[in-house]
Amino acid sequence: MKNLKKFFKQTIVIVSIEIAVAIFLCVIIFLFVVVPNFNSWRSNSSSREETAQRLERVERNLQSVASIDAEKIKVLSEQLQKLLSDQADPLRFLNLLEVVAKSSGMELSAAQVTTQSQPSVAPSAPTGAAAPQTPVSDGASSPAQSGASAVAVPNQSVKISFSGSFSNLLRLLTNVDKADMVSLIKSVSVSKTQGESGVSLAVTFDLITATAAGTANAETLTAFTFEDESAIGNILSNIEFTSSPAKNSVGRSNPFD
Amino acid sequence: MLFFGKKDQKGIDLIPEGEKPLKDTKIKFFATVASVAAVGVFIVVGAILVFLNFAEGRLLAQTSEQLDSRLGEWQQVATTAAQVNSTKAATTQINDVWTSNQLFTKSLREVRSVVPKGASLTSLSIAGVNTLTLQAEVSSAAVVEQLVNNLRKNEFFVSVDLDSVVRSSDSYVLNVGLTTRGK
Repeated sequence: MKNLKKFFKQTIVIVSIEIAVAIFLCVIIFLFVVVPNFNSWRSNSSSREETAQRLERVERNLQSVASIDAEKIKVLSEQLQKLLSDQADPLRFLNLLEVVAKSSGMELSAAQVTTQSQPSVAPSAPTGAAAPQTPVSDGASSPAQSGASAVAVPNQSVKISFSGSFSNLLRLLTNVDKADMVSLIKSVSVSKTQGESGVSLAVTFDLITATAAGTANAETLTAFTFEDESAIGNILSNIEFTSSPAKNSVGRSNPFD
Repeated sequence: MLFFGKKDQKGIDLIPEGEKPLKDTKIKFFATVASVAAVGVFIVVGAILVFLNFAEGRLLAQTSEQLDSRLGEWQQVATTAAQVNSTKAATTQINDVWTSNQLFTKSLREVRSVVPKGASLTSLSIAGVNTLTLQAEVSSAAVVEQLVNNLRKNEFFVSVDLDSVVRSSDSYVLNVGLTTRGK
């Protein structure tokens, strides 16, 4: 015991203990204060920078959207959406195409509605001759197909046959883009009418539906420039042909007559 | 090596006995000062980092608060922004469709421009925008050659494949496959 006391009174022992304690404290401070706070500071710093950048983007976007005339956009949007139906509407399209064909000097001779999910039941002749299996008149689809078209089926195709002259055919294909329902021409088949100078035209159209309106991201810049407005103006000014359902009186004593 | 209690290896201590306590005190003093200083430095560094971390945390909280506030404002104009985006998407969609549709008319016009006298088309099919198949009735072999040459010279057609030429009673029937530029 006496030796032990004597041992601890020695300078070198005291100094060694002091140094050991200091190192221990330094290690403790380093491990439990310096390192975690440094990491946390760096993490907070990068998070703050990221948040500040997001804030800047949102503020810029807010300013941009605030400068947009909401009423004007609403009107333009509604006008454009009319050209792209929410759901494929082959009956309206057929009605419209009849109007377009008449204006172009062509006659709509047959039509067939198919959906892309089903294989087409009307094989197109290699010569492109209009040989639809379910001819209709007065803009009505066939009974077999009308059931399918009554259900909202996206991406419907309509195959329509026309007859007329070649120059009117070109006019018709140009006028299709002037109708107030946008359709994509998938294929065109032209054939000479037997014994006449005219042509038969079979065109397959895809009815274009509007893409579902999404939500705008607060951080993605939304701008509506003069060019955008001008592009919409060009589209709307191109529309010449519109259609609406007939408004005949209804109720007949003999509906089979 | 007094520290380990090895009495047989005593060093030669040349310091006079009177100066030993003074020297020990100095050593102890410097060791204490150095230890305290080292710990102090670590404490100061730690304290600075704690402060920086705290300040950065507060800034982060403030910035996040501002962002939340702006996002709240965004909700009021989000409908307009969504309408702008859908309107622009619709514009692009319509223009794309029209551009594609115009290619069919252009193809027909180009074909019309190369058909010579003595040849008449019996059928023409366009599928997939830029693939054409045409059948023509031609009065003579010379006109067949002229028609095919005209098609090949026309820059709108990328490839012209003469699929078949059949001689009938008074004319030739030829089938040609064409690929257009697609623009």
